[in-house]
Amino acid sequence: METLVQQVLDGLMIGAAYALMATGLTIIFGLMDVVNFAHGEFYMLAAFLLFQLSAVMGVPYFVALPVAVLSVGALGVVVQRTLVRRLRGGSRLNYLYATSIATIGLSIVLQNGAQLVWGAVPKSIPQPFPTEPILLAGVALSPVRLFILLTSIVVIAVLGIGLMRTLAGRMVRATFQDREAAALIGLPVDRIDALAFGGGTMLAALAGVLLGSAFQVYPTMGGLATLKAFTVVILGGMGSFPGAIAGGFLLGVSESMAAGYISAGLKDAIGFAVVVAVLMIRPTGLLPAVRRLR
Amino acid sequence: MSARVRISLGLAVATGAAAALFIVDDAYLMRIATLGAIFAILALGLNLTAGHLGLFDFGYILYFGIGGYTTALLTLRAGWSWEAALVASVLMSVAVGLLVGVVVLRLRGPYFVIATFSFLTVAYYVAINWKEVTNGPLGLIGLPAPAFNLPAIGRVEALDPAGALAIALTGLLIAVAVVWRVVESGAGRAWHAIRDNEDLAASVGIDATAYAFLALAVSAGLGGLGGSIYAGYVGIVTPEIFAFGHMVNVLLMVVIGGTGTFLGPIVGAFLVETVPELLRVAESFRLPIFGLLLIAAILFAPQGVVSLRPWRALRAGRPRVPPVPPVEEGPA
Repeated sequence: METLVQQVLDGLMIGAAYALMATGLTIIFGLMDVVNFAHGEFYMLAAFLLFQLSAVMGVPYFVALPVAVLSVGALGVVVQRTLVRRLRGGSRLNYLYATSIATIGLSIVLQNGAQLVWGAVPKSIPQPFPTEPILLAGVALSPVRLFILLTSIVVIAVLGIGLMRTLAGRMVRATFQDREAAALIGLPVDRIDALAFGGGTMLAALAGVLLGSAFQVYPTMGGLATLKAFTVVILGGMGSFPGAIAGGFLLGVSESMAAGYISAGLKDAIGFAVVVAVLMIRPTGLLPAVRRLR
Repeated sequence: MSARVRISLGLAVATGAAAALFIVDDAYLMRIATLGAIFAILALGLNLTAGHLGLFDFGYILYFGIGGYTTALLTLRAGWSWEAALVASVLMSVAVGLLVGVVVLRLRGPYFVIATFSFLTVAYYVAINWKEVTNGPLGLIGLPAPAFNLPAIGRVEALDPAGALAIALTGLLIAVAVVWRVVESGAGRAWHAIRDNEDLAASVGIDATAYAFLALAVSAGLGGLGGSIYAGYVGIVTPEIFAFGHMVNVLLMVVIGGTGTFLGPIVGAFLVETVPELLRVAESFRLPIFGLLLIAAILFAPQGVVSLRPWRALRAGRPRVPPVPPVEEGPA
């Protein structure tokens, strides 16, 4: 029973990071129809920036963390302004291929760039948390994992309130639902795109610094992360925020269970098998968006 | 230049280049050309679904791996000859393609992308973990190299660089003939109709599902052909045959060359195989530069390199007229 609780908690921690990544992808896909293959590389880059700031330059962890996340968000805005924005035009299919190739190219540049700067040997971020686990009703909780879970939940909650209650959030949702109509009533859709791309990459960056603090940081860590985030997005329903969050936790917990009870080697395949199974029963995912996919 | 003139010109250039390769007889160049030819078969196959039918098969390398593993198992465990195993590999890939199609062809857009990709990922992990059959991550080693005696030509062996290139180019010729045959037929026109407007195509009586299955079957068969030749050439099949890197490379070949064009995937395959080799002088900056080149290619040639018309810029005395934008279709 205690192992089961332990597996679920581990799954929830990983799942929280998946949910952050998937929410970022959903925002970018929902507004710009961009399947962002460089998402995991933003996640990797933020983890390396945190490593650089805290381990190499000696900046305190809780100062370095927001700096790393904001810098990667700024890079996301630059990428949207200089690259993604120029790919519009042509048929929908061509746009899908053009944005895929452009973001794949970007991911190759970032991944190999990181390898040139930091090398291929995995790095550890020194963490300010005590290593002594907190015992709670017989279940051991490591403080860093608790920090990851709580931070993710707080950020997702703030994001949800921001999207529902603030003017900027309403503008983003309006553009999300119908781009042409939003432009027609005078919303600056182009600037909303930049804001959303920056915000989406910041969510990936946050997942990166959080998981980077608990595990190791290396240049190729983004590859599998991107794929997992896609899985979550499809699992939950493309373009749906509740779906992305639910899908993230579902994938995290099912992977953790699979590793514990089936086989650690097959852990990474489970998510993809679950996706095929879900899509056979519900071709639009678990909690599909109300928005019509154009 | 009309399409037919360009294709004849392309074939003439290709024949010349192949002849030059055999005359120069440099093992390194022939190795690059052999891999280029094998991947051109795959790019042609992926282009059937991604370019002509309009469904982005992001798990296409699945059929490459199925072809490779079928060939390896039949030659190593059952003692078949490579030629017989090649035929079986193509048939096996087609069968797997049809089965995958039952699930994925109900899906469209990004769902299709991720569902096909999921099949590829599951295959990768099965290949790693099903040790009794696939020998796990170590893979199947020591495939017999294809070798046959041909009348008038003599002995062709894959161990010899020229022999391997000849085998790969023969495979590419078969793929070109198959693709030409289906794309220039009623099936090709049906695919284009489905790609451009599926509802409209259905309304004039085109059975989208049947034609989609046909595209998937032919493209899977070409994947199996490429996988079988690749397995015979490198002599080893590991789970890495299902690697994401192969998938990205084949996709790049199709899109950089020109999706939905005839020559594009072939040109793209040789470009994507050659450019990283040329960049070896840049040493550790090789891959970052390659990534930047991809971004530049998609910004400056969004329809693929075969859509570029450099001779138009060269015509003297004529002002360059920007292309007329296509008329927006709307309700009449």
